[in-house]
Amino acid sequence: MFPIICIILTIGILFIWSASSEKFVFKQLVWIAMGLTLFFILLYFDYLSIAHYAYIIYACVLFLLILVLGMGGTVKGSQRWFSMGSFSIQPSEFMKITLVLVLARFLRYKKYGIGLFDIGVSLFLTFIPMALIVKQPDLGTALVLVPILLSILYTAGIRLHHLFMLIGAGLAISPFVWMFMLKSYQKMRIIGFLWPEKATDWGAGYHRLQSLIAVGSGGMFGAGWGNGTQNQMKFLPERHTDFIFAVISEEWGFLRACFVLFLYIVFLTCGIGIARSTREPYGRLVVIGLVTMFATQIVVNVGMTLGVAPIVGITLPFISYGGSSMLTSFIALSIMFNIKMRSKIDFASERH
Amino acid sequence: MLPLKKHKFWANIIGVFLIMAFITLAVHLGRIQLTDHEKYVKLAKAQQCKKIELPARRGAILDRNGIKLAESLQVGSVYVDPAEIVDISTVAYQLSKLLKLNSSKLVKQLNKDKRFVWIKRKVSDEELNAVAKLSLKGVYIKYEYHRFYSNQQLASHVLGFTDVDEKGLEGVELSFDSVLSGEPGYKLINRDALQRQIITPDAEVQMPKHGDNVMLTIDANIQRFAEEELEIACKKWSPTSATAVVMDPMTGEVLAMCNYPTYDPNHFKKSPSGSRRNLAITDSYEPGSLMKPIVVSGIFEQGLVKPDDVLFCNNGVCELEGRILHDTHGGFGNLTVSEIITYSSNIGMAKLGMLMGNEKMYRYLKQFNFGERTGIELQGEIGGIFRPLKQWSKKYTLISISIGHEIAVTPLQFVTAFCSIPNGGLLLKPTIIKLTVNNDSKTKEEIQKLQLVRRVINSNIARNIMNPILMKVVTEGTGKNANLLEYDVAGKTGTSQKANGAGGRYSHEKYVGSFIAYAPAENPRLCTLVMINEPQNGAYYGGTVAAPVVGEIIKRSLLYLGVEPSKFQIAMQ
Repeated sequence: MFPIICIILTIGILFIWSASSEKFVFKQLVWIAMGLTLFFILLYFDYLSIAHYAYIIYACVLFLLILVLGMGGTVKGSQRWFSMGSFSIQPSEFMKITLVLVLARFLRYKKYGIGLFDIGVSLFLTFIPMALIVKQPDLGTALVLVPILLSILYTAGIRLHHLFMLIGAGLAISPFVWMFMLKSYQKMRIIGFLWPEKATDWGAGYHRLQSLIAVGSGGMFGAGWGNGTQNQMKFLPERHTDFIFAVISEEWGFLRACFVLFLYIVFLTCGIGIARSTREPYGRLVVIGLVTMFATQIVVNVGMTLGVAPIVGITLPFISYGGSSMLTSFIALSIMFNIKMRSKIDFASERH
Repeated sequence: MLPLKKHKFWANIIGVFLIMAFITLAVHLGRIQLTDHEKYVKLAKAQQCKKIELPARRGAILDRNGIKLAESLQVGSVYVDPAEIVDISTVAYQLSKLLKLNSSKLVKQLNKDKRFVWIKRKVSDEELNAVAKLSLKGVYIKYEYHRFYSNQQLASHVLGFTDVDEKGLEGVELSFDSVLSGEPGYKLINRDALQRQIITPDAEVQMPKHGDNVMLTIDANIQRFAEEELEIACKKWSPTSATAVVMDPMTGEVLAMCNYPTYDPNHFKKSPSGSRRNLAITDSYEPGSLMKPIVVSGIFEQGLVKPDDVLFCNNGVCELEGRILHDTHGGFGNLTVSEIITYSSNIGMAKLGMLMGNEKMYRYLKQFNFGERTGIELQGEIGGIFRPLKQWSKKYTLISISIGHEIAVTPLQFVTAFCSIPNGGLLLKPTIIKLTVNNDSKTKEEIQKLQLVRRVINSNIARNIMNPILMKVVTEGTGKNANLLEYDVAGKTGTSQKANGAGGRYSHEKYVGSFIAYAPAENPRLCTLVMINEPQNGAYYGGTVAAPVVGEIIKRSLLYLGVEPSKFQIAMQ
């Protein structure tokens, strides 16, 4: 699993280089170094002790989210960042992991199935941060929270008819979300995704079109690294962050883009493997939650690059440029490794 | 909590779900990258490449000696990119002052949501320099070709003119448009999302194919003489219109062709459309007495009379076939056939014509291609009127045609037909284009060499019988006003009454006065026709209004051509 992450990281560095400049490559390397450090530090603690502090961590990150709304820096119309010198962090990124930790903590010992009360509490735990993140506004990150909730509830043993009721209820309230919670540019993007021909060139449809042109011009073998015209001539927006997969597709072509997807699926399968082999319920729920988090991000990011998902600003884990995204990914990775290590130990001791 | 086994099953389901999602993505990726590859490459090219047109230079129109009558030169036009302009009101103020434009209109143009707006096309060099000096952001100069006619109205009817995009609209500009215009080239330029040009060494460039030059048979000097002399006459006689054509009788080459009223092709829109008509080919007239030498040649050809045969001309008034004919240049008793031409007797001509009969007359005149276009390389030519034999009235048409009525010719058509006398009996196809010159390879292509249509008159009759008769017209007869001290001139006057619109009756106020002549008579270099349509101020005879014009044109042209005056001795005395 770790070698795969190393290959993915290398590809990420290569294409940040192609899509932007050495400055960003250097910064990204610093983030990776920080991420690795964090990875090893967290490995030292038993994940079960994290479970202890889950509610406290949750409260802290929630507090940061409120704080960032009040005093965070505004970048491209959203208040998401805390600046720390030349680096900045987004609490919403950390909220994804925190939610996994807190939901797993809440649901880990519900041995006799999950009642409506438990579902209600889980929803409450999810919707408070979600509302704060939508308010920033950061629709993408907020949306990632939904599959996390569903997959943890599901793994924790929710009854199927409750799950369907939940999904039904979600669909029922979506018009109200549309009317009261979304900003107009977010609505535009969703319209642009659903009916691309209605979106104007410079509106939501533009990003989608430019991304499709980039991917489409790649063909089977691609234009070659550093030769993608859509990328190099700056037609493609958000080249080194959200749309980096379009750059990979354009310059590397279909075969190697599929290879990148393959690396991700191997990584996710390994994650599911950990969940399967973990008997301890908290660890199992956390791994499933984290795998869902990664999977959602990958699928939605690649999906929006290919024009089959709305453009909501989700990064591609371990590849897109961005500190918070990188740190979050490493923290999540570290927790997964932590659980893998310690569940084996558990297993071993049980046999005795 | 689920039992472990069951949990493993659910985990597998999540795994399968994920793999399916990824396969869907891969299929989509394949559809976009492989199936629709071409489409997206095209879209990418469309937004990354910009085709910049490299205009082709329109070929010049030259006279037979290489003098440029029309040529294309580069001039600057001012345009703006409104998106780049910061302070609209200042820019509008400065531009309006420099280019003399309405500033509020300019503000509107600068506010347009476009990246390219013409401000003023084809501005003068001073204005251009002033604009360039300001170097305002967003204000650009683009160089385009513009058509210039450096001699103003000279040969305007032959040259024609072009529109602002240099497309030929009239004259040679129109008929040789495809030769003159060439093919524009292009340059493919890569540009990024911010519209910045990216220099690529392998940029595709197609150089423009410049248009060919067209060399006319027109001689700019002779053209100028013709125009000047025609203008003098027109000032004197205030006609509604007038035409002069000068042709080399030996080759059929048109040396000059001009009309009054005329216009300046540089500013063709300023003159009324009527003044832009090339009347020499677009309008037809009854030739009147001009026709007589041609008819008489036919009668000689048939051997029906000899030049010295005498006919009674009824002292100027005669009833023939129920109509009364008059001789306008005095009442004559007995006249020889030669004298009938010299004094232009209508009665004598009518009697001669009747000797020939309808069918022979028709067949003879048909040879001259009357009623058909000459096929000169100009647009808008008409064929005139020469009715088929079936439509001839039993007897009177013959008489009419003998004196140049019931037939209508264009000036060019008539010169062409008449030239068969000076050139010894040959009908040639008239031409106005000498050759075209490829501007890139400098290769020349003769458009048309001498083209013989057919022999129409026996050369002996033309040179030995008709020539002395026509010389006599100038020395003794109706054409005395064209007599020159320096050269022997041979010609014929014509004065035709114009038909009044209704009823086909001939007017007593509206005439066409004309004169056609060639010189030197023994070795003809030029044949000149002048037609003055509806002259006023008390004169209308061709011998009065047109003959002096022809004389002057011939004199100046022959002197210019360096033809030694044949009567030099006499002239010195």
